[in-house]
Amino acid sequence: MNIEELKEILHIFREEAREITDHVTADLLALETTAPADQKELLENLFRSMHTLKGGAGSLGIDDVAALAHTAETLLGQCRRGERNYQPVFTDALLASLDEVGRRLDALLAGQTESGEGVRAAQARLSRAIEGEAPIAEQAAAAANGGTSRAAPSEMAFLKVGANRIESLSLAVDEFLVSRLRVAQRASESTRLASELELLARRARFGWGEDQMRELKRITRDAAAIGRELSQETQSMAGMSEDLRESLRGLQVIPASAVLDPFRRSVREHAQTIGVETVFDIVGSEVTADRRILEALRGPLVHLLRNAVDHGIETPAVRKKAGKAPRAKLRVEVSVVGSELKISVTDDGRGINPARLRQSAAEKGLLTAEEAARLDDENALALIWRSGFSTAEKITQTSGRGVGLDAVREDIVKLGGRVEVQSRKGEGATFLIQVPLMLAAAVGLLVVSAGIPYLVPLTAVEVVRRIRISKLERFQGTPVLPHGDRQVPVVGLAAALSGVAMPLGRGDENPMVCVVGDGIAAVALVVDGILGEREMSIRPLGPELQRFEHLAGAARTGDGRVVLVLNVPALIARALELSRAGGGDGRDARTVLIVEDAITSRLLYRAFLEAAGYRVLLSGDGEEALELLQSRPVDAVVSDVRMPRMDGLELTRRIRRLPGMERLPVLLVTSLDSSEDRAEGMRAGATTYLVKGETPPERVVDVLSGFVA
Amino acid sequence: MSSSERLVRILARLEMLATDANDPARTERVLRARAVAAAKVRDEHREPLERLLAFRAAGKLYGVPLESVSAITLIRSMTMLPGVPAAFAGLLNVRGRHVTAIDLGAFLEGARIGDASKAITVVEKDRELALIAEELVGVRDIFENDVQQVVGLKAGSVVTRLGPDGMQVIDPGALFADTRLGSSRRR
Repeated sequence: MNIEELKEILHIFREEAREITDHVTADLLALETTAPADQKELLENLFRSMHTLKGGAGSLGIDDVAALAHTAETLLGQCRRGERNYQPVFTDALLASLDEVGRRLDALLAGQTESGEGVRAAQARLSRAIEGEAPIAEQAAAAANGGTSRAAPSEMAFLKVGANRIESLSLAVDEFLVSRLRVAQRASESTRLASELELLARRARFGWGEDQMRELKRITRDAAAIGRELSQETQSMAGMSEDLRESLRGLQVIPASAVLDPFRRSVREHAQTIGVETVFDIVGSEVTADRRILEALRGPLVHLLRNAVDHGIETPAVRKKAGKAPRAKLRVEVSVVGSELKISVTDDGRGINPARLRQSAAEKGLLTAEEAARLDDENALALIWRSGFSTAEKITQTSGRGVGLDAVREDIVKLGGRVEVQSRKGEGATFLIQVPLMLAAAVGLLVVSAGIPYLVPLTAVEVVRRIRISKLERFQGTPVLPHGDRQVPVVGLAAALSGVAMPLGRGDENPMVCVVGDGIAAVALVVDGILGEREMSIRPLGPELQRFEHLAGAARTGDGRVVLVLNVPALIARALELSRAGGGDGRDARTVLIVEDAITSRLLYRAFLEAAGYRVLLSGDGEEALELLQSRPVDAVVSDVRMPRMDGLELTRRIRRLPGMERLPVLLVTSLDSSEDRAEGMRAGATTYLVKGETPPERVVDVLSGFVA
Repeated sequence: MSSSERLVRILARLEMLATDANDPARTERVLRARAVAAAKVRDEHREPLERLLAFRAAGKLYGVPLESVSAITLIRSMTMLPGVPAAFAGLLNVRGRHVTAIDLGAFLEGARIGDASKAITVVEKDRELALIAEELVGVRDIFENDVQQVVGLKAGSVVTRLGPDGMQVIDPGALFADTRLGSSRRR
C-alpha cells in the first residue's frame, strides 16, 4: 500500500472516528438522564462504539489510540455486564478521551509528528476515574472482550462520500446537460440538412440520371431518419438528465442530527461553566434536509442555545424559589411541514420580560419613552430582532453584547426562511425557525436580452443556435424556424417579456436563438447573447410579484447582482400571444421622438432606442419637435432641456397643452442636476426627469419601456 | 410663559412697530413668522408624536414612519423587471435578500421617478419593500398639530395624512395591504 492509499484510509478512519464521537457523546449524555435499570442498551452501544474505534486504530497501527479505546471498552464492558455501576465521573473522562483521539488523528492527517502524549494523558485520567470507583465484584475480568465482538449490523449499507465528490458529480451532471444541448443542436441541423437535400432533389430532377436521383433520394431519407433518431435521443437524454439531477438532490440531503448532535455536549459543558443545570433534549434529529440549509443553521442555533443557557435558564436555587424543577428543560424539536423545515428551540427559563425590553429600548435611544410605553407585549418582543438591542445584564463570550439576534434573523431570512419568538415571563421562551427543506437550485442557461441577464432553466432549453433573420420563413406573417419536424415561431425575448413588439435581432442579422419548450409548445427566443450554463440557488419573489407568471424567481450571482429566473411555460404563452398578434418582429414598433441639439447625444440615443426596437424620429430643438409632433404619431418624447429656440421645459409645457397629449410620456434627459432644476422639470409636466451621466442611455431605454409598454 | 416665548413676543411687537401697518401682506408675513417661532419654542418642550424619514420621490416629498424602516441603501445595481407595471422599479439585493423596489411616483402619481439613487426598505411582519428615492431629506419629528388627515379618500389609501411642507405620510400597513402589491392572483 502506498502513502496516498494509506492517507485515504486514514481520512476514512478520521470520519468514522468523528461519527463514533458523535454517537458516544449522545449516548453518554443520555446515560446521565436515564435510570440505572434502563441504561443497558446505551451501555451496549457505547461498548460497541469503543470496540469499533479500537479495531480501526489497531489496524492502522495507531497503538496509543487503540490502547485508550481498549481501556474505555473494558470499563463499559464491566458496566454493561453489571459488574460496575456507571458513574458520572466517567463521562467527563470519556469525553476528554474522545477529544484527544480527534486531535491525534487530525495531527496524523496533517502530517505532523505527534508523540501521542495527549492520548496517553487521557488514558491515565480515564484509568484514575476507573480506579476511584471500585468494581462491584473484584473478580471482574480486566479484559472482558478481546476483540471478538462485532459492531451492530446496519440495515443499510453506507458509503462515505466527501462533499467535494458530490460537487464533482454535480459538475459532471451539468456537463451531461450541456452535451444534451449539443446533441439537440445536431438533431436540428440534421433535419435542416435533410430538408435542403430534398429541395436539391426537386430542383435537380430534370438534369440528373435516374440512378443519381435514386441515390439522392436515399441520402435524403437517411439524413431525415438520422435527424428523427437524434431528436428521440435528445428527448430520452432530457429524461435522464432530470433523473440524474433528482438523484443528485438526494445526495445533498443529510439528517438534522449531523448538525444538532454536537450541541448535546456543548450545551452541557456551557451550562456547567455558568452554573446552571439543564436537561437538553433533541426531538426529530432523524429528519433529513438539504446539507447547505442545515449547515447554514448551525450558527443561528448556536446563538439561540447559548442565549437560552446564558440568559434564559435560572440557577437551580432561583428555579427552586420559583417552584420549578432545579434542572431546566431545553429542547430542540425538528419537523417537516410541507416543503418547510421547522426547528423550535424552547426553554422553560425566566422568559423574556416585555417591560424590560421597553425600558432597554428607551435607554438605548431606539425609542422614546412614550413610544416604548405604547408598545404592546407582542411588539415589545419584536424589539429583540433590532440591531444592537440586548437586555442581557451579563456578557458571555457569544451573547449579551447587543449583537446576535438581528444576525440570527438575517441568516435565516437569507435562506428564504423566517423566525418568530414566543415568550411568557417566568415560563420560558420558544424560538421557531422555518426554512425551506431544500435550497432550490436550478441549472440554467444565462442569456442576455436588452442588456439584462436572465436564467432560463436548462430542462426547458431544446436547442441553442444562430439564425439568419433575412432567411427566416414566415407563416401567416410570423417569422418561423424549422425545429425538428415542426416550425416554431421566432420572437425576441425582450418582446416576449415586455409584451411590446420589437424588430428581431435588434440590428443583428445573425443573432442567437434559444428554442425553449414545455412539452406542448415551443418558441425560438432571440437573445443578445448567451453567457453559458450556471447553477444558481433560486429564491422566490415577494408576494407582490408572484402574479407575474413569466418570472419564476430570482438568483444571485457571485458579485451580488440579482438575476431573474424565467418561467418557461408562461413565457411561451406570452411569446405565442405576441406572435399571434403579428407583433413578434416589431411591425408595430413604438415611435419615439428624440429632441436634442447635440448631434452625438442624438445619435447615441437613437442607436440605443433602435436597438431596443423603437422607431425613432429626430429633432434639434423644441420648435422643430412641436412641428413633428403635430404631423406624426409619436408614442413618447425624450428631450434635452437646454436647447436653442425652444428649450425642453417650454416644449413640455406646450406638449401638455396639445389636445390628446396630456399623458404623452415626456422624458427630460439633461445634465442639469440640481433639485431646483428637477422640480422645475416636473412642474413643467415631464413624466420623469433623468440626469445624464447618472442615467446611462440603456437605463433611459429601460425607463422609457415602462411608459410605453 | 417662558423667557424665550416672552422674547419672541417682544421681537414680534418691535417688528410690528417698525412695519408699515397699512401693508397687509407685510403684516401677514410678520404674523406668520411669529407663529412659526412661537411654535418652535413650544416644540422644544413637547415629545414628538412620531418620527418620520422624509424623502423625495418623483419630485414629491414623502414621509415614512422611522420604526418601519429596516435599511437605507445606495442603489448600486437594480435588476429591471420586464413585463410588470411601472410601479415595480426592480429587484434589489438588500443585505443578501431580494427586495422588490417600488417607485412611489409611478405607484401613487402615475409619474415615474427619474434617477433614484437610494432605497428605503420598509418592513411589515415578514414582508419587505424598498421605496426608491431621489433624495433623502432626513428625519422629521412630527407633533400633534403638524399632520392633517386627508378627507374623502378611498378605503385602504396608502397616504392618509399630510405633514409639514406638504409631506405625504405613507402608512406602511396600507402599503403592504394594497391589492396592487398583494398576491391575490398568486399562481
